[in-house]
Amino acid sequence: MPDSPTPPSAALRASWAADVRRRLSPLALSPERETDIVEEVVQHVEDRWRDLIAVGVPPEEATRSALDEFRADEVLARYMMPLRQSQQPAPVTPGVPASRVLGDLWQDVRYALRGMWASPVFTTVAVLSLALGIGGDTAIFSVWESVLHAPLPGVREPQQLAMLSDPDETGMWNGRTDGPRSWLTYGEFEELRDGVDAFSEVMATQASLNTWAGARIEGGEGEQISGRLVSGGFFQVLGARAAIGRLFTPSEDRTDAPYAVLSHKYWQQRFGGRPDVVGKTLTIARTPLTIIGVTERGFIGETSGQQPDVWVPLRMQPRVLPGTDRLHDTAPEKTMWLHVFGRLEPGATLPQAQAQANAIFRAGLESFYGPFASPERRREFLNQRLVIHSAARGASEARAEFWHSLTALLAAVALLLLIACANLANLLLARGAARRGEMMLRLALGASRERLVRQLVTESFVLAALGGIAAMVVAYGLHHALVQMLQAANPRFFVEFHVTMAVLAFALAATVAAALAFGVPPAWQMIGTQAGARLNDYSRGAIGSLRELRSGRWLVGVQLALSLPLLVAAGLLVRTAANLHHPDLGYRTDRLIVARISVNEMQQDVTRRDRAIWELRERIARVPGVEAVTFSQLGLFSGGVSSVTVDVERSAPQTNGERESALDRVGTDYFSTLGIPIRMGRDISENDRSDSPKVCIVNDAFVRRFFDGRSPIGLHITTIDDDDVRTAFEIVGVAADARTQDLRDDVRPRFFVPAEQRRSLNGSRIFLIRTRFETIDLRAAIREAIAGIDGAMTIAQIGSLETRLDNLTAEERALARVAMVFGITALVLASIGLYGVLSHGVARRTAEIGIRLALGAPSGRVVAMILSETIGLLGVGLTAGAALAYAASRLIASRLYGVQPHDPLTAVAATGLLLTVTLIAAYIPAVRASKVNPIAALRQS
Amino acid sequence: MTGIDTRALDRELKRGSAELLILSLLDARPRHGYELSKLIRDRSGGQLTFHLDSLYPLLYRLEERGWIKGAWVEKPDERRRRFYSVTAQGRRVLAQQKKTWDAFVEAVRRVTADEHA
Repeated sequence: MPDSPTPPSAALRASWAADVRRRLSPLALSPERETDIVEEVVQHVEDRWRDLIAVGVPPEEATRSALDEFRADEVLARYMMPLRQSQQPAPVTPGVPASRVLGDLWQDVRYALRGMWASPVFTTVAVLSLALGIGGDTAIFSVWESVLHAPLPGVREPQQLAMLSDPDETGMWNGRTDGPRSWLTYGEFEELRDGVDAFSEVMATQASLNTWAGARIEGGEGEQISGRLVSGGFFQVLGARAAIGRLFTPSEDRTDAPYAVLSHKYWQQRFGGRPDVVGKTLTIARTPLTIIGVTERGFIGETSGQQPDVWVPLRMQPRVLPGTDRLHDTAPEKTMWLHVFGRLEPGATLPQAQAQANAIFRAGLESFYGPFASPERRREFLNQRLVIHSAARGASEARAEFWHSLTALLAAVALLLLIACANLANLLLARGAARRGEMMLRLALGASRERLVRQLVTESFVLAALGGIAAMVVAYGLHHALVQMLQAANPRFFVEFHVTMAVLAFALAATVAAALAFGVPPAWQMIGTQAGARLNDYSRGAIGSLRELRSGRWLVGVQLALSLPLLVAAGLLVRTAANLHHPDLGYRTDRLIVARISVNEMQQDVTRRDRAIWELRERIARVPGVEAVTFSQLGLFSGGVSSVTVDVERSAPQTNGERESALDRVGTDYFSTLGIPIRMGRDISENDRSDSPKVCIVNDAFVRRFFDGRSPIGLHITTIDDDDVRTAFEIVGVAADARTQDLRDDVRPRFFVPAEQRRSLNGSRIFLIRTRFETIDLRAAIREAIAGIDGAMTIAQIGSLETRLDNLTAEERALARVAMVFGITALVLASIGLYGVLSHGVARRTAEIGIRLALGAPSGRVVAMILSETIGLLGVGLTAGAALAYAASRLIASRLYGVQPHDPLTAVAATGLLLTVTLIAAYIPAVRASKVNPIAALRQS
Repeated sequence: MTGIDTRALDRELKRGSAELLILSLLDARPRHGYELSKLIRDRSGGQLTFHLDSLYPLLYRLEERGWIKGAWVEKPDERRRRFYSVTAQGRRVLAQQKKTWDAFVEAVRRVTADEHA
């Protein structure tokens, strides 16, 4: 064979190969066989071509002539048809062109599975990291979706539901409000139920969840049970059905109905699902209720994220929540404690319903406040309105509370998944290098590039699919842990793990995204491979490896960029948790017990009540180990609010909205017991009783707001109640600002009056007790003291302030823990990625390094060379990461305490940590590079 | 050999003689496909040519019958090639076919010999 100086180009050979394959395609050849034939025949064509070139034929003509050895397209196949080999089925050999697309796909899948089986360590690591990333994302998405987006479960046509109160508000309010209503009264509900045509039915529910401590079943031991008061139409409006027995009907609103309906979950847990529960007696607050039925599985009621154990008719309120009557209002005070829901008539719209409801509501307000003729006050009273909301997702306390945390968590896990994918992509790139020879040979034999890319992408999808399936198991477990974490912050929170369409779709999308994220870089590499490059060139680590090194570096840059926001967020949350552990409240929080004593049953007899409270205080003060005792209406961090309109003597003129001040009714020595400094004047003393001159103490914020910093001692504050009764209190002291209700917001202006000098409707008193030692159990001592005074008092709740603060901050601390785990994981993943890429790069450049060392470069220079490349990488990664970190800190800003979102110290610390760890990860391969034996390196190539 | 009307020969005789040609060329020494095709063309002065799409099916057919054996051979700095060699059975077939062909040619020659002696 004459030796041609210019071989045919790769493209030319490929076109010949394609031609031959086309001619062979009608046959059922095995891919192996077809490859062999193609190779042989193309060799023949090439030899012919060379011969023609050698005798001087111009290349184009030679190309044409070489193919002249073929006749019509179908001839080759026709001659080969009788051969036995044409009848064989195709074994699995990927990369070889076959004419059936689906056949290709199945081949690739099987090949991918075989490859994974062959490298168990890589496969396990890859599937695990994918499972963790995708599973974590899915778990958080599931909770996020249930809480924020999903419609109420077990409810018929939720889109037809509407609310006339505020879905995000929980609790109640006594007195008066203005503007849009958060809750409604029982009287208002009755008016709306009967009068709004746009609703086919209307029902009301209590806007908070009760926890009864001493409930008894058939007279047995006292147990804790949670429940909600609801109107008779509750189940019908929601379209719920009974699993056994029956549910409430509107007749439960007409007369006293001592009945109870159990939730399915409680029925299973407490009664084991036994049908004989119907007819049993449940006693709450000494009121016997007959259990009439159980709801269906999956029905949780009207509030998402909560699962009550039992539902009780609204009319039973005075008996199951003794001490107040919330069913009747006496002007000018209203007890607003209900959420009101309506089901829209077919064809009715929300605006229609709102207009009708507001018309009825206003008419009700006019007749309620009518007798109070003062026009100014009438205008204030009538400044209330109903705002209608769609109630497909129900009411939710949890929504506003958890929105930020859940969204931040979702973002964090997504970042972590991306980082894990970057690592996988790097791993696959490295593996791709090992398979480069195989790929190039296939390309040379005429396998289309597109075909090979498809094969690589299929492999990524198979890996991702395995990870995705494992992820569902992980998601189930993580969901449980996540709900527990949220329950630490809000014990009434509960969602079950449902694999809804949305959750499945999300998991699928995450899996596909992951597959693309780590599958594309190696496949992209493939596109750039020069099929014509000689295989020998490649093994020397020249062009192809540089390109691959660049991709690997780019990926590590991405990982670094993604790790920084996680580290910064972790740092901020950790500092928040530390700050919350010992918050500065303005008084000492240690050894302080908060005890809520219920005096409900004595509510009407004021004299008896005051004497009992006073007596109790004396007795508690005498208990050994007690340093000081006082009480307060609002307590500490009880979530209570109390405010009143005031007229302040000689104060700067205020607009109407600013004539409100917070107030608290407190006992003797309130400030000294808590340890709040008195700046001027005096504390509340024993002499401030109901028959003494009325006095009060104000805080610094009050002085700043109303007195511009002047001394207020001797001036008067006049309270203006809703019945226009004015009462003047003389200011006898100024106390320092203290946080008693709210950890985060600025301290509000507040004034404190002696408990006996202002009446309260509240059915309990909160005692604040400072003890000498940490480990005193006051419960028994107080119970004894109560027993000796008046059996009508009971301990409703008792606990230390520190425990209460812990509960308040549980969510932040849990977030901080989670963020730390994420941050560290991201750091570890990024370092592994960097280490892998640099090691790989060093291995590839062994020859180059060997030459440098052989030429006398000091080993330190080599180390510096590797490290300097790393610095460049870090620079790019950190710059991108800084922008992400900025966004991340803004996302979590609302959860921070005592630290600013753009706190420089935290940012510097996070950056420093990232720098240190990555430099260590780079140092090891750098040192290894410097120890390369030059002779061995050169010989290797 | 000049002036043979190969189109007629193509259809009838080539079918019969193709195997003989291949076997006898391989009998001398192992060769690859292009070499076979080139030899046939050169030695016949271009009168006998094998198109690609008949040569290789023929080789594969002979291989399936076990008369020749193909093997990939790799030489340094060269792409690998498939060389064919005749097997023992192939040699027996070759001998038989040669005898048949010789007898046939002889018979035709005798029939078409000039009658003027």
